[in-house]
Amino acid sequence: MRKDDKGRIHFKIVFYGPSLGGKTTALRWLYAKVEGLQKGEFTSIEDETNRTLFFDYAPMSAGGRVLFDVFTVAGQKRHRHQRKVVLQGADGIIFVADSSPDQREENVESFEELKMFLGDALGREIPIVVMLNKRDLPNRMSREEMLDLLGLGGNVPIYETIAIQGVGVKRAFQAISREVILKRLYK
Amino acid sequence: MSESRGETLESILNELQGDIPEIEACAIVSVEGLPIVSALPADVDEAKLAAITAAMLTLGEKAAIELGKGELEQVSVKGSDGWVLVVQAGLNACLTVSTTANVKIGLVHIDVKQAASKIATMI
Repeated sequence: MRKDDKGRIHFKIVFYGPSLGGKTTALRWLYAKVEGLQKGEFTSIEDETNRTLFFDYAPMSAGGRVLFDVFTVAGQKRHRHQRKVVLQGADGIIFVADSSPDQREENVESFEELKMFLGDALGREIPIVVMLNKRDLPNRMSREEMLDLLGLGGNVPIYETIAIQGVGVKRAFQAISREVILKRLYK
Repeated sequence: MSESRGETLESILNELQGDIPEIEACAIVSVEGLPIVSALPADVDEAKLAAITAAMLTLGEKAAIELGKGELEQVSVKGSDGWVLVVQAGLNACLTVSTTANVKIGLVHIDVKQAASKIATMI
């Protein structure tokens, strides 16, 4: 959380998760389609194939003096250092898990990495919601299988999403925004 | 433009309180938990009511999802001294109402839902 020179409060929300899991798609959908949020300019640092190299960024405002600085990380394994940098100062995390069975290990690795970077703060000082994305895949993993895989109990809000169609994305974003505001603004 | 929208939202709250005097406090809160417009007595803090709304939405949404009840529409809390209702007002906001204990709650539900429908068209 930071205050800018106009007295506005900024909260940093980061989409985290394995490569090609739908982080950028979810942010782009929020940016392009969601009414009720005022948005600034969308910034993306990506390669020539539109893969995120460092981060995507879009500022969004839900009300007068509160702004959400929303980032995605680059999911590819080689961008580990960049992910650590983007996580600095995060107020809330949306973890985007890929429902494709061949992404089983990538989901686990990414989630373990997130837990390692944030330590005990994850889920305590820094709230998290999880998107189980690509629920339209015919061979998708079951919700239970994915929660087992990630070691998630009942304390983390879970949203089944189809980022490319926007299904569930807004709900997940509203949930993390609310958690962050509850944790930081009304503590 | 925003000023006239604010006045209109305020008039919905004022009308609600005018129709049902047992409504002690009411507020329109964004689904993220930020206050938009409120009609509150002096001893009720707007930020506090917004925070309570956010907490109720979080718990209500979790209950609705985990127990297979679909999209959250409303959360109700009854204490010995009254009710607190949080009702969805479209996709971006909700209407929170606090009442005394002696209120006719069925009537409140009807009026609050009507007010929420109007708010939904404006936010």
